[in-house]
Amino acid sequence: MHISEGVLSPPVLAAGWALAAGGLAAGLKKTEPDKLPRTALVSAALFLASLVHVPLGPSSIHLTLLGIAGLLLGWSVIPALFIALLLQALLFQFGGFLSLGVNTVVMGSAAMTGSLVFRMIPARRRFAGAFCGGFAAIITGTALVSAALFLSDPGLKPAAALLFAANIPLALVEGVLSGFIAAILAKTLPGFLDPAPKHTAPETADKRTR
Amino acid sequence: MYLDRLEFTHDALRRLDGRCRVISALVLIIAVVYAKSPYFITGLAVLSAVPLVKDIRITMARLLPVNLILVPIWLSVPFGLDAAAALRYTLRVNAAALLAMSLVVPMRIQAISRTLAALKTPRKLITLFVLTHRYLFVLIEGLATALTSMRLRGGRQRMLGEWKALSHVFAATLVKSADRSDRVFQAMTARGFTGTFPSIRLAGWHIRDALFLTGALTAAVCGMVL
Repeated sequence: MHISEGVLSPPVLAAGWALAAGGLAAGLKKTEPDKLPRTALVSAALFLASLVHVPLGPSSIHLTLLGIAGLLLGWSVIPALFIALLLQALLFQFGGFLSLGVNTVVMGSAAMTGSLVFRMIPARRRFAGAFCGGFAAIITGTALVSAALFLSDPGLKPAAALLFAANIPLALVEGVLSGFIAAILAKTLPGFLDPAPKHTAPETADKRTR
Repeated sequence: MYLDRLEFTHDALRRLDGRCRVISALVLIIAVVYAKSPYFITGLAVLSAVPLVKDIRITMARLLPVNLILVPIWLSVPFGLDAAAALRYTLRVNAAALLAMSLVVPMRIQAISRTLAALKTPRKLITLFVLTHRYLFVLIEGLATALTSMRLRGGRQRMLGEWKALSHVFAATLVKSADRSDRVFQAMTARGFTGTFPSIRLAGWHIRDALFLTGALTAAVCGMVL
């Protein structure tokens, strides 16, 4: 889902950077300093997921783990994705530097959508929730990439449609793998995927009314 | 897993300040996006390729994923997209990639983090960048070991079995690494880590950086105007 340099038009690139800057500001504000190592770890995992090839019939595809990342980090997933995409551009030329803004918006929206869908499904249906989350994440990301291509150049409409159609099998595989990973995490570390408990005022020992 | 590195092959490029390289690269990539003349884009591409000729194997390997976005573009030529437009995209994508590979990609991570700090990037983002790069190698090691163990234990399985096994490997690597990352951070905090990695080597701006940046800006303006 990475868009390379030189394809998107300047207005789309500028809009991408504006949205990414807002997302980064919100994400960094919600990332406490003691959560930085966990965020960096998930960012590194996102980077590596794109290097592991998963067999699909005679061919293979690569994972994104966006749904799982959104679940684990919440808003912090946006800076995590930004850094993962920056490192991918530096080390492997996946994506680009100018298109980093748009790529961050695409992947960040995908991760947040995946997380939202997962939370909508009851916790006892962990596999189904993670499957729907992973699937929704890829479909959202691909739809945004297609939209970015179409908005940059309406002549790219067939390319955008082809890209969307080609990513549907990836979305299904991502859903299945996200389901397996969530089910395993739920068994081994039950609290790993749950959001942090909100702080509540401590109950006072003295409950006498005045 | 071995990450092939591009190195600066010319001293002139190696000595440039990180800020000069990053800003020049961005300015020239913007020019590539805006420019209408294919000769300008091709000229920039050829100029950027000169320092990369020595590492031609790595350069060609790195250009492959860059060109993946062009596959659906070229496939849509029979469905209405102008072939000249597809060729223009191909030139732009490769020129931008070559520019980045000659100016920014060979920079060391420490140099990049110093440059980001000098460009007033938020400190949390720089810390995240440095920590992510470090954890990358921790995860690569863990994942490679786990994948090898998986293959040795189970051999090649049917597709669904392979997916389940890969999920176990991913989940286990994530959990072990999360635990390790928390312990490492506690150890760092106990040793006085305050959330940022201070740089002791100060970036220095020289006349050669000003000249290079001026040249890049002039080329960019000419390319966008002509």
